[in-house]
Amino acid sequence: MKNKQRLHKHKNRAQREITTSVVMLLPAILFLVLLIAYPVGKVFHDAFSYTHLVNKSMEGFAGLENFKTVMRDPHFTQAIKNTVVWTVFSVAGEYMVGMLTAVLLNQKFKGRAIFRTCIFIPWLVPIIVAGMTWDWMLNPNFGIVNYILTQLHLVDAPVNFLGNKSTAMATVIFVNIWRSFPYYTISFLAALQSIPKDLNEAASIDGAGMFRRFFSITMPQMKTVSLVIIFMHLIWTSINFDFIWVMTEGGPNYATETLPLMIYRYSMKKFNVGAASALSTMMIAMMTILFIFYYRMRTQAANDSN
Amino acid sequence: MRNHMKNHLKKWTALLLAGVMSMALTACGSENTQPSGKDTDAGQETQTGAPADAGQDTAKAGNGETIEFWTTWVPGGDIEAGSLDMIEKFEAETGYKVNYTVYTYDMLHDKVISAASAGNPPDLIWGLPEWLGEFHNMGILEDLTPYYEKWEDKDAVYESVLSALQIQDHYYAVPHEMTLRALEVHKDLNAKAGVEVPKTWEDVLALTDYYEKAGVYPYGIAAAGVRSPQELIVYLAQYGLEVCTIQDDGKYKNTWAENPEDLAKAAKVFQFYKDLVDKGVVDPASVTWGYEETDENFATGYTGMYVTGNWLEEREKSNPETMGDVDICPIPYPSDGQPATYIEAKPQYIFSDSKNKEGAFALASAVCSKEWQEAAFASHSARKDVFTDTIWSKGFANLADDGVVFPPVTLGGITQAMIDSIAMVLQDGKSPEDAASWLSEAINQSLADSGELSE
Repeated sequence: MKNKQRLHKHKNRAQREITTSVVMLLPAILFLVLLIAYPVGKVFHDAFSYTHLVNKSMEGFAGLENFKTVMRDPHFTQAIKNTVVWTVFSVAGEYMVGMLTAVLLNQKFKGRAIFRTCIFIPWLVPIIVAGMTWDWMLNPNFGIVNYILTQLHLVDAPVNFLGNKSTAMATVIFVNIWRSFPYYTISFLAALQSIPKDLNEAASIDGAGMFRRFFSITMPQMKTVSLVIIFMHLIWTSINFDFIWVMTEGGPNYATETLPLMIYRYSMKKFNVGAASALSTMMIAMMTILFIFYYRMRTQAANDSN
Repeated sequence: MRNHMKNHLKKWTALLLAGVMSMALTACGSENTQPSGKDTDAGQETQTGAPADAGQDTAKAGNGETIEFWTTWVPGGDIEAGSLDMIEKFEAETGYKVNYTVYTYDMLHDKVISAASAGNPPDLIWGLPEWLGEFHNMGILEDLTPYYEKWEDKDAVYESVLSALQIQDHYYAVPHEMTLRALEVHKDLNAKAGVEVPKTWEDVLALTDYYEKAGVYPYGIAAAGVRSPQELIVYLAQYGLEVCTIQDDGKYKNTWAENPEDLAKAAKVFQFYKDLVDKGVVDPASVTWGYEETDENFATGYTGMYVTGNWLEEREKSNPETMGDVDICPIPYPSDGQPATYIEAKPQYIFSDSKNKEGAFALASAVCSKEWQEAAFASHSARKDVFTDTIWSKGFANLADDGVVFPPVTLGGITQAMIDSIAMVLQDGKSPEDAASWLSEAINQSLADSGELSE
């Protein structure tokens, strides 16, 4: 009898705990369902449906038709190439400049605190402001950049940086690096400060030069932070829309058109929400693969360090 | 002592960092946030009576109801200044409260599509005529014909403007501004180059030594952005070509491919663009420019002549030194063609899901009233009885008879194809004939995508 009562009490307590857990989790679950699961589910649904904002005769199950529409688009291949170039060169540039500035700012010199503060300024500038300011600075007629280049006789005539197909992508990448590298600098600086000084001192006594110390001591210690920051920025950069839109709108003549801009054109210019969702689904799949790759590398790095 | 100094330096550094961050956050906060009605001195709290010539039925009918109004005026410009005064008066006279928000056209377009698709559009917006067809096809516009029947003031509006706002004899918008395109000319620069104002394309293409003499390019083109299709439609119309024409079934089609003569004329238009660049009549960099660059270059005297609108009147104040010599002339046309210009009958849209349609039409008709038009659109009014004694009014009014407008179809894909076709010739080195054929096909493909192609 006592055992039964005890069991009953235990059951009641367990049920109460479950109920409490559900109630406590409910806001988070609602948040996830309404703000993440539903929109993502709708994108998947629309990717396989005929959904057009203007052409009401387009409705029903589309199968893979939207995916075919996207892949038959004459700008699709170019947009993939542009997305890869934009992402890889942006992240690589940001990493290198970020690392260089972090190493420099980790040295002792007068006014270091002021430089550490100032270097963060580009990251604080809103993308729209940065994009539009650089747009005017690079203008061939009025821009300060062309003025300086021509005054110094570095170029014969003003260069139309954003209007020329051969220079537009490199220019947008440059501006993106300018704005984003401080984030790397700050992250790397924090990591550099956590490296025990005696490691470097010991290596120095053993005769290791500056570069040897950097590649044999500093870089291995930066592996984890590098992994996190690189993969995070690979995803952020590849899905970035506003920077390129503000500066070139994907032009000249699609030279800087990336996949997010293509999604925008499908939905807001052509009103083909089905095709836009199909392309979004493809991007989500690519990002998921990237994340799995990152997760495996991270796990491996953690195992190695253990 | 040293530690004390160090701490002191750290404190100042932290303070500097905090200052920088707060300034940046302020910039973030101010980004894209044009003043909304509640945040400004537009005075929405006052209420009484109706404007003398606005919707009579809604006089004092506002009863404190709010009209959500999304507008596109340029902050700090004359249109904003005149309109804010008139909004205050409108609120005082009608009892409505006007909650306005300012956007750029691109932002407004996307926001309206999203809001209307979700069934939550504003009550009234100031938009572009290019959106009429797509909004109508989306089924989000309110049929304003019943309102027009009661609107006494409509007879004061130009017939060409009213007809541009109709689809199959039904009104879907109320005008708020009418602009025309003309060749705006820097007389002093032309005198320096020793040339007369060109009347034909051939005259324009003969201006090859203008740059040497005047130090600036004689002509301008916008080969990218929203202005580009508006220029192309004019040059096509000068050869009697339409982007697409209505067919017997009520749907539309581009018919150039069915008529080799039309296709040849379209090719001539693209050849004109190519010659302008090849002969150095326009700045080579202009092959990728939008209206931001071309208007700026004209206003600051970097271009001798440019086809643009009377909104540049505002630049007389900002650039008095370079805008003082401007004259308004007809747009050059091919010697085997005809004069044409683009009429931009700028509409105010009310949506079928708008919550306050009565108030929205009262405000829209008030915007089109003589008093409001004189206050905000004196030189570019949609009304026949509002004009000024300046070149910005008279010079343009003379050209109205040759005006063309975009057809009332979904234009997103079509205007993009028009921009792409110019890029094919000027950037990809394709032949004008190829560009003309491609554009004809692309227009029909876009019409097919939106379900508007006549089979």
